Amino acid sequence: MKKIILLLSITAIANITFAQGKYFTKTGKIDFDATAQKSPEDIKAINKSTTMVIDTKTGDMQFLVLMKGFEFTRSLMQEHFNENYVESTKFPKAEFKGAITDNAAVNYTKDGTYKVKVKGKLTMHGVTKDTESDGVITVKAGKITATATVVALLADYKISVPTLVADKVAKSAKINISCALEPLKK
Amino acid sequence: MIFLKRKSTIYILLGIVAFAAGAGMYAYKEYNRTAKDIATIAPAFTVSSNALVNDFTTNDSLANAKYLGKTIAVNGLLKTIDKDENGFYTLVIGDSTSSSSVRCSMDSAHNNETTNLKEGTQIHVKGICTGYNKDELGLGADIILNHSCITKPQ
Repeated sequence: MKKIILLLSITAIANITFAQGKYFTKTGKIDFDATAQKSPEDIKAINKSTTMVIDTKTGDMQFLVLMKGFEFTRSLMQEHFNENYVESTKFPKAEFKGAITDNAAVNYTKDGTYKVKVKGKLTMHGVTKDTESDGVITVKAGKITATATVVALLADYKISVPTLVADKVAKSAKINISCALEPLKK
Repeated sequence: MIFLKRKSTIYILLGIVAFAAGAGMYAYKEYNRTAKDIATIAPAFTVSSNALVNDFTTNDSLANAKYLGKTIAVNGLLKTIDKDENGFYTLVIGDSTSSSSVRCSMDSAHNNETTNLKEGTQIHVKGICTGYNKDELGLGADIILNHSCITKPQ
């Protein structure tokens, strides 16, 4: 009998610790920088309405971002970005589906900073490509922050840069993802 | 005759200079143009949050063609006010019984308008529609408005 109680209490405790499930945000940030080295002006934009979900059990993660939600300082640049580069009317969103490959190394219940590897498929401008990048998971007081930097070659996603502005727009974009996640209550 | 010719040449030259200056000024202004204050833009559509959600859930490609990139005024019940770690506000409007909502990301210049808002009350918001996220992740479907501000009832 004692053994059963012990076993039951262990399972109960285990359930509490492992009932971690999914974390999400709808206000994640994605910014990118495609400024060429010698460009006199910055080619930068930020999106503040990124949706991200991480399943802490499996390490599966996914994010969605609406292309029209990228904000540039210069409106003209924003219009060119939407109309000529990413064609956001035709391809309204970018998406990443993948997983943290070394998820077991992250203890989501213990405060700390964990370096992780993220692998998956990034879809943008109608093109899906395999990507791999380094990310950081920060756990602090029950909240999780996920950050990663991805370098995407524009040509890979069939985004062509006219020769006229080739000295300003870089051939690849540095994409920074930063999401403060909250537990998903079902 | 020569005099006349010279005079017309001068006029033509002056015209070219004026045109070039005008074009230069236009290009300069156009190049440095920043986003207009949302409060000064007249909405292309005025809809209730429920009607907007309905439009997108029934046919998202049709709704995208209609609303994407447009300034729209939305009214409805304020579900929640999301404040993120950087102090950016997002107003979530919609029926509390539905998981679908209109998420209005506030323009930083209009952030202060959120201070007196109460959840569960009727509000009027204007913003630029940046798109629609289907309920693919089990988080409910969302329509996103960017650069939002609070408006008066239309």
